[in-house]
Amino acid sequence: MIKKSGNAFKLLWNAVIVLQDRISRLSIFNFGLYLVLSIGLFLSGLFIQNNIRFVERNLVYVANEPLFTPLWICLFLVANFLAIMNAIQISREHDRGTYEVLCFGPVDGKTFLLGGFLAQLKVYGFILVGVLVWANFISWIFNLSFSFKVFFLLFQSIFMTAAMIGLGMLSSVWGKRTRATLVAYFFLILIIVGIEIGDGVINNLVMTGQTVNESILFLRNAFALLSDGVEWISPFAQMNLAMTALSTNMAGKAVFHTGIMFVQASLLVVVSIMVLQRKESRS
Amino acid sequence: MTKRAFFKKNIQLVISIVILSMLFLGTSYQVQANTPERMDAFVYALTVFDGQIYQSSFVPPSEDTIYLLADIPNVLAARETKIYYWSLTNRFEADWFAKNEFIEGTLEIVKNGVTIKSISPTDTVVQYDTNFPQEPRRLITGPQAGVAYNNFLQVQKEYRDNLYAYYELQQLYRDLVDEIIASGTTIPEDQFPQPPQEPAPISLFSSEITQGYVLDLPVGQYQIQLRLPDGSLYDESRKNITVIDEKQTGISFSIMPQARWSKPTISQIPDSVIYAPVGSILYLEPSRQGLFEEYAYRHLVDPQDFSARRNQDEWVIYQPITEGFLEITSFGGGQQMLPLSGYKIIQIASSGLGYEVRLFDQETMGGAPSFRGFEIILDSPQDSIHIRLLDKEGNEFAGSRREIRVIHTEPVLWLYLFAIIPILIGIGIVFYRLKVVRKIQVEE
Repeated sequence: MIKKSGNAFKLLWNAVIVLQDRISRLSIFNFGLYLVLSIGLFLSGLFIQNNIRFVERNLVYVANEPLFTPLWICLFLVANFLAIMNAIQISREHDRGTYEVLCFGPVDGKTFLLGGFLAQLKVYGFILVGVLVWANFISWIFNLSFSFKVFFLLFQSIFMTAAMIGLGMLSSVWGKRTRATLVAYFFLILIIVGIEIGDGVINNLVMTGQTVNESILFLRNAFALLSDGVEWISPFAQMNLAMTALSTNMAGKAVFHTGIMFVQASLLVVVSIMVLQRKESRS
Repeated sequence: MTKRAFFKKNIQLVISIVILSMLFLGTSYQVQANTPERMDAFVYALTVFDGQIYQSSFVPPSEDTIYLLADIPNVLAARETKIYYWSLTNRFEADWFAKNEFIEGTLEIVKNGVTIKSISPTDTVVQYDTNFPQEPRRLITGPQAGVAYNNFLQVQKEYRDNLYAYYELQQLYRDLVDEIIASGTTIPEDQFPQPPQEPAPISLFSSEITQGYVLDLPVGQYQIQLRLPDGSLYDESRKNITVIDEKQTGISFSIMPQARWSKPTISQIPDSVIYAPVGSILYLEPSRQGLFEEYAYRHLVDPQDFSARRNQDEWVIYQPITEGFLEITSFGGGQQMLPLSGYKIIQIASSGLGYEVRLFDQETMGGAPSFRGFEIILDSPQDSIHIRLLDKEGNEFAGSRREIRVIHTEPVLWLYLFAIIPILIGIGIVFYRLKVVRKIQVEE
């Protein structure tokens, strides 16, 4: 009996690996991935150039980790793209009816989702290598400080990406059809990112204002409240907090927020599998 | 009625209405004054230590929590006064001149429902000496407060007497000079009578003696309540007390490029990196600092603050460091020790703007230096140095490490050239894929 279940697991794992290989190839051959990476690096470049111009004008610039924000911009874009890619791939299998065909073989909902999830993470791993080379090159050219914290940041970003891919997966199993999936995903991202950005912008407005406006304070407090709630479900916010903790030498906090991202990613994958299995059993 | 007469009549009507409404509005538009209603209220007048100095504020009934620094004596004075809401600043103000009555009693400190301390009122006074700006203001309590205040009055009296004597001597001197001029006597310069010396200005400053309850508590949450001499509790006196401490201590550097000395940039986070272009001359002025929870600290300084955010930390800069050394370790491993020196800004006498930063020399320059700091010259494009601040004995100040790097500002184009590479790889992969697909089709 034990041997049989062990074989079943081996079969399932093989199916996951095969699916992962197939999907990762699809992603790697996708021109959009390179375009997004280029846009990410371009935006990061703009950010670095802005800091350089600041030094030229003010003759001094103080930064904790000057590469953190540019790297974060780039990695956030790539992570989003991979999450959308994965969501679209899952929905398309449903749209075309190929998912049902796959299920005649050793593939079930679990392996299907896990295969896609691991495939996107594998692709992200390749991207990370490229981004690491870029970060080294840029810090060498501009004589920027390159600390080991950059490696930790890249490591943390794997968990953010995993959570975002999980979010994409959940949107796809919920929406099923491609259009519904994309709407659900963008809606979720818009809420999560919008609250965070709104919180940041209004905070800055309050801090830079000479006379504090009561209405802005009310908005600030409202956004802060929303942001406090959303940050527990938002990989974007957790990555931000982990990054801040890392740059201010708060190792414990950095590990804590990385752990939260791991929990988010695991929960999203598990919930996606459960939702898919529930839908399958209904149909 | 002709058309013209009709228009004329109507225009007159319109003008009349406008003038009447203007008159009406004019009479109803009265001069308004903002004289808010004063209300009797119980408040706590605070003299709290903010990490550097003792500050005064008060807690109106609208605030239920008082924030204090741990293990430092702070003074709370229970008072009845008149308060009013000042809408220009959105805060309550106290009219101390209208009413200012100290409430005698015993201040009880309650923790977890148990009274852990009962404090009786005592005399307090805050003093500071401008000759020692690096020393914090002193809070003197109990019988010593009276002694210190009397000493201040004595110093003040001596200064006043000296000043009076000086003015008298000055008058005598003027009379003498007038006599010499009137007599037409020629006196050699070295024999000419010397003017009297003005007495040194008073450097000791003091508040008046006030009564208050002195609290010196460890970190934690407490409640306070005032028990009146008849044993009853003063209801409005119940407040929460949150005692906070620094989460972290460190050293901040105020960085002044020589060409922009009045526009410093502050480096507060330990181990952060300071970037400057090649050829820069930087002056680093170190100060002590502490990390606090923003909301708690701002409410400690101002109990009615509404700008602070919760769950945020902020570095608070205290007094500048006046003695110490900066250890500089260059990329190659070479070490150098810079003493903390004074620098003076000398304005250049010309029709345009200009100044020089010179090493301060008391004898030739007089007065006080413009700032005290360390001069760092970045003359090599590959400069990367590590710094840390040491005290007189050579012990490192916690949180004083920084890195200073020369940033290269020229090769900006590389930023965008590198961004194109992924697109080129993508195009290559697309072509490769097309080639493979075509090959499969041909083979089929």
